[in-house]
Amino acid sequence: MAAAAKDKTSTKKVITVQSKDDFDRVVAEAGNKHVLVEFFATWCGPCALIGPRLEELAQEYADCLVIVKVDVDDNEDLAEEYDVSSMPSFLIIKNKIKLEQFVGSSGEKVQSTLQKFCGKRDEKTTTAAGAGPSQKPNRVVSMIKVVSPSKANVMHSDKK
Amino acid sequence: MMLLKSLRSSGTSRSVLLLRCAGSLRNAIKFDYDLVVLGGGSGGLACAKEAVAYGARVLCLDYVKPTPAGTKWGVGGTCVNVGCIPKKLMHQASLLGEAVHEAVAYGWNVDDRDIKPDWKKLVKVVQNHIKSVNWVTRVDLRDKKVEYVNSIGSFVDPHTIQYKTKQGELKQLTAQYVVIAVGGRPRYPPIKGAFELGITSDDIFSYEKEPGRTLVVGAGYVGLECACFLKGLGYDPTVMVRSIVLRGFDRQMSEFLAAMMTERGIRFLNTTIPMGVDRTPEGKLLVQYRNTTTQTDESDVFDTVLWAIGRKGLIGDLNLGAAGVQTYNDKVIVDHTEATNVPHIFAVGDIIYGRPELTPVAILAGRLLARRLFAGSTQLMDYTDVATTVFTPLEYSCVGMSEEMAIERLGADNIEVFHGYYKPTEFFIPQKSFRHCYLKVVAELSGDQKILGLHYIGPVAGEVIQGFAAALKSGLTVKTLLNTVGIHPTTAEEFTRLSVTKRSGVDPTPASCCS
Repeated sequence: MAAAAKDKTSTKKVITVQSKDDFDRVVAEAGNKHVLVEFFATWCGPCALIGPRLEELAQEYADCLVIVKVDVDDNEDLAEEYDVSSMPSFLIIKNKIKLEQFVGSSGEKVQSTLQKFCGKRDEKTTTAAGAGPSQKPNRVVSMIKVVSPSKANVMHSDKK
Repeated sequence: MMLLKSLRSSGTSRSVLLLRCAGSLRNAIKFDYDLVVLGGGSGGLACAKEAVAYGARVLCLDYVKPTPAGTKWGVGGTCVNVGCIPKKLMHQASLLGEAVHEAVAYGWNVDDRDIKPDWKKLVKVVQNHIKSVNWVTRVDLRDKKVEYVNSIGSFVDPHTIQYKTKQGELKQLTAQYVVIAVGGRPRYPPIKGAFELGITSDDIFSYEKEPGRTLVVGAGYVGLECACFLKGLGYDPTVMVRSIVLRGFDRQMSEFLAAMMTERGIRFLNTTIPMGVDRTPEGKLLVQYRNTTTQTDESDVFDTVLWAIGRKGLIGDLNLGAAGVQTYNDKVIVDHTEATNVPHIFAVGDIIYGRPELTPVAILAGRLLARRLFAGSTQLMDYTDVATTVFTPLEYSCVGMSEEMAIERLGADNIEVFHGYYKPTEFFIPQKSFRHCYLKVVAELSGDQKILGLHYIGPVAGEVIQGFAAALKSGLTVKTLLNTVGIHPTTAEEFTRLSVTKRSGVDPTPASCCS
């Protein structure tokens, strides 16, 4: 379990697209899942602030959505297509249709938008042991779900 | 029909709309674009954006050839990327270092011993800001519907421009008007090691190494400003001066500025020229140089060598011969309407011969030109009485004539020079030197004494002089100036308190403030 927890970085869920073709492919592969797109820039301070939160949200909402990042300097065509002028800009896309677009690095706004489309998620599991260790089992469960899909259903039912 | 839509959205009147429509339809048959702007800097962008506001179809080409050291940058031109903006930020960084020491005098319990700059962090935040400006520039072009291509445009014939796409394809297009706004780049001296071992202002603002012990070759404002912010950041600059500092500026003020820099510990190598640069076994730079007064040769070792010996216009890539455009000393010759010898080809900004190389000059000239081309305006650019500032730690700002220009044009007997030293209130507590806090007004001798020029060395000089530039343009006289009540306590108010003339021979040093 501990080893799997340390392995977290190797299963980063947020995808940074390299091109418009890459973007189209990821959106298509998302299938029925929602896609949260973040338009960012390497020189954008607020984008750097919200970055880690996006990775957390990608883990939490993995069953419902895919999170994708687009560097506006590398993908000017995409930025132009979605009329992006300030960063971070967020889109929610489902089945290739844009459902929502907003600007700003408010973690609450991003979270409430995801809740709108995906429903609420528990951020902390409550155990008798206390707040600290109780977070880890949740994350480890998500990762095991990814790594060993055959065990996923078993884990899922345990999570109650 | 997209043309009509863009004309309507620009808010122009009906009759102008019809005129433009008819004109543009004529041009639509004849030319691909109403206007092609070569260069996406201060002048080029201002001209392009103003032109689209009047309904013109505009294409802007911008490209940055990497420096010998490999530095390149995005759209926006010299000012945004390797000029005014990063310069001002680094100037601010160096002033803040000074402020930490002053803060201690004012009671802050800051440990100001041995404070150091984090050069890499400074470069990172400066570059991040520049990139955000590049971005906003691109969005602005997109929003205003200026077509933008990142490539070098060159002439095929007077109305045809060609460029190479990123894929290597050659494209050609025709334009009714062309505005050349390609600006300039720093010169390199024709000596050994200049390209391989020296850098310029193009490189310093993104330099990945700490500059360390730096030789700045050149004593124009670029050289002086660079030496000053390097000194303020704790590095060790030396300025090599071929003949005089700040050629073209008021002599007395220029010498005061050099004296201020010397007082701050910046070494000057006067009447000296570089002869060659070699790399030492330790990886530093050995510079050979000659003192032209004593005719002696010497050498010294530096970490960085920065050439600031002037800038050359980028006419080389334009193939101007194909358009028949005349040039002089690698600049384009234009008349008072910014027209070249070819009637439909114009130029604005640093590329034109004999005009101040300043961003606000390029911007205003570019805008006025666009209005004359597409909005029926007749207003010409006024290049006289342009205010400017040298951003050294005590800054020097001026507007109007230098003292020697006034003497030359009107005669020493027909002018009066008011002058004075002053002591900024905030300097006393940290015991900051005000030896070079000085200002002067050059005016006509007779009548209400029309003011010909104002000169100021001190804190925030640009902020002080800006308002006076408008006053000068309005015909400011000494009578009005001395009847203007000052704002107290400021340094700008010293202009309203001037009383000592050079002619009187009275000592212009004040006893104390408020008297």
